[in-house]
Amino acid sequence: MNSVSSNENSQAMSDTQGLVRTSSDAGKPMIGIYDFSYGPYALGDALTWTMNLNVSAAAAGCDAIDQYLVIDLSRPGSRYQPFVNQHNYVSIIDNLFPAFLCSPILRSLKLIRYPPTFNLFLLREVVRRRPMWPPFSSHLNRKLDFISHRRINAFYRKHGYLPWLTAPRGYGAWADGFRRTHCGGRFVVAVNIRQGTLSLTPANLFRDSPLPEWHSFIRRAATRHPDVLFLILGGYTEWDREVYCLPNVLIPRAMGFGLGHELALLHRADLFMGSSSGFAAMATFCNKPYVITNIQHLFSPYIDVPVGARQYPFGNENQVLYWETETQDVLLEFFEELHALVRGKSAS
Amino acid sequence: MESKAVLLRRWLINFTNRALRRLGFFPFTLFYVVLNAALKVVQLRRGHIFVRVGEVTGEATSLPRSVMLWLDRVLTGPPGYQFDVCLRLPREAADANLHDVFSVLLTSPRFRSVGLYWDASSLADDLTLLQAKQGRNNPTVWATSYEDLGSLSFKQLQEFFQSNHEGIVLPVAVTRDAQTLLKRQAGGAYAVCLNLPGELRSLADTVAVARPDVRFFDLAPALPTTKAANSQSLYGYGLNLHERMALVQAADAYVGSFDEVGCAALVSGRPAILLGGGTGEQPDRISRGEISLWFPDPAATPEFTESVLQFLSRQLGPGGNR
Repeated sequence: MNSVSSNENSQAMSDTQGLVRTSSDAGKPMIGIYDFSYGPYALGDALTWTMNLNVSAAAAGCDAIDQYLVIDLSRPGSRYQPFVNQHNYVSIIDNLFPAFLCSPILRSLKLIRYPPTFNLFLLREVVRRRPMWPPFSSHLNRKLDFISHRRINAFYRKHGYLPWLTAPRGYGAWADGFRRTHCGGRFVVAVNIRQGTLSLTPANLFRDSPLPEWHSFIRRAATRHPDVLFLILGGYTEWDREVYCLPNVLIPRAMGFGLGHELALLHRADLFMGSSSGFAAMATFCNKPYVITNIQHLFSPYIDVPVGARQYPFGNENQVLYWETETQDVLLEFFEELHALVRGKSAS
Repeated sequence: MESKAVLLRRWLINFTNRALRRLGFFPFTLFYVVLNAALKVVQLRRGHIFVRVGEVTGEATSLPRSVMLWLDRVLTGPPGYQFDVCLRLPREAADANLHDVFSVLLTSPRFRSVGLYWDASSLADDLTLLQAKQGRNNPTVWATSYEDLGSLSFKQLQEFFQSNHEGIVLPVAVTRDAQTLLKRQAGGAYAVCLNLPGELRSLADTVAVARPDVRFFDLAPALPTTKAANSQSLYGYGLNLHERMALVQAADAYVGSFDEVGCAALVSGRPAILLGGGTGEQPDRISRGEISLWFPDPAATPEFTESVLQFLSRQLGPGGNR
């Protein structure tokens, strides 16, 4: 249990690193606008947007964030997601909602589906000269940089730290309780294996990871390290039935939990392993030890990392990028390296 | 009857709005923002704005249910009225259920915007742009629209149980999937959703054995205990709140906790037995017509089991296929 309590303590510190948590009702807010008529419904993009908000808030000296999620009923989805329409957007935003709760200085979150209301709020914030992400001019041109790490890297280069994401608001204590109840002091690895073919809205299937390799890796790791527990994250349709048969595995979704719980568990896990996807963005921006596999080479200029490089500019030795399709041997090798490093750090 | 001038003005505004929306770049987007903001200001001045504010003080343990009852009570009025809904929440929540609260808010057919606030001054600031001018100046309006959701009394549950409901709107795909699941699993047999609290788990076995003609679908967040062939635990199905609500709305009857799922059964007019919510000082059962029965403080006694079976017989018939 020592490792768990030390983990909790370190989380408590990292929750507010670089950001001043509002303890009173006063606050200088940063305004975040996520207009779904030009921003995608996607976990990774929502988390990258939140991280950009955190960074912009820290850079502007803001100690609170007010988020506006805007859905225009005449155009509920962007050109990237033409399948989103008036009849299904509620399910989609409902499934994505916890991703918008991950800023430690979140002060308010509004979902507005009536343009006059949003635009009056928007004009008020503009008149007050509140800092915004995206900037007002970008919003007017319906542009949102939801992929690149340009601002994040620049902030890190200038300040030497990042204001990390945290567990979704209201879910952190639950995740601590889950670890105590279900994980029994074991080394917890959060795993997400991208399987677009099994998702409800299949897209970019070339980014999927090879399931048999992951299954074999988990079997081998469980044999060699029986103290390890794997949490399989992802939508209910997105994991293979064989996962039920793997040793040392828990599936939070099959236990009745949702995305908010999963993000909190990832935040409280000892290690994240998974394909380059939404959960990997959470691991990246909440400063977990991680191995992110199968990173698309065309992503390289957006994150300012050369193809093949082992780390993000803000990454450390426990945070590994792997640019090729993973095999069970590669996964086991990375796992054992990071397991030893993280165990060593928590022991010291 | 609206005058031609009003209709013409409305048409002109809508046309301009549509045109500006299509021209999604500067400076047309700026005109769009200004036009819409001006529309909102006019609405505020005319009082065509309705805002409801709920506050959660202390540790609210069943917040999704509280919010559901609150919305059912306050989002009323002539057809077409739409509301801005604001919730002031504590920073440290008692339960990890904020996602369920959001899901409940999305089921209201009348919400126009939803605001979640963890800060009183931010809420007060925003209300100036949400509340009509006369509402801001009229303490009566303010008093009736601002409610404490931190605690839920027996009286509030009773009012909800007895009143007529406008209903909730669930996403179409969720409703479709629930009906498909029941078609595949129950076929032509009656389908009953169970959602029993822990102390009444034994009832699941009893009713399943007593009614072999009915398919029971157990939603309770606990490991399955019943081994009856006609009972199926959905615990491991990973259903979200909308999916569970759709399931009880698609089923022929509901027997379970008076939680947000039980509320969904009630508002959709399904035959329902609701359990819990009492303090021991209320009548042991309260009925609403023939269709709903509420045991505020149920105990696993033979009399209680018999009451449940009698209710199912009344609603579904005494046995055999329908």
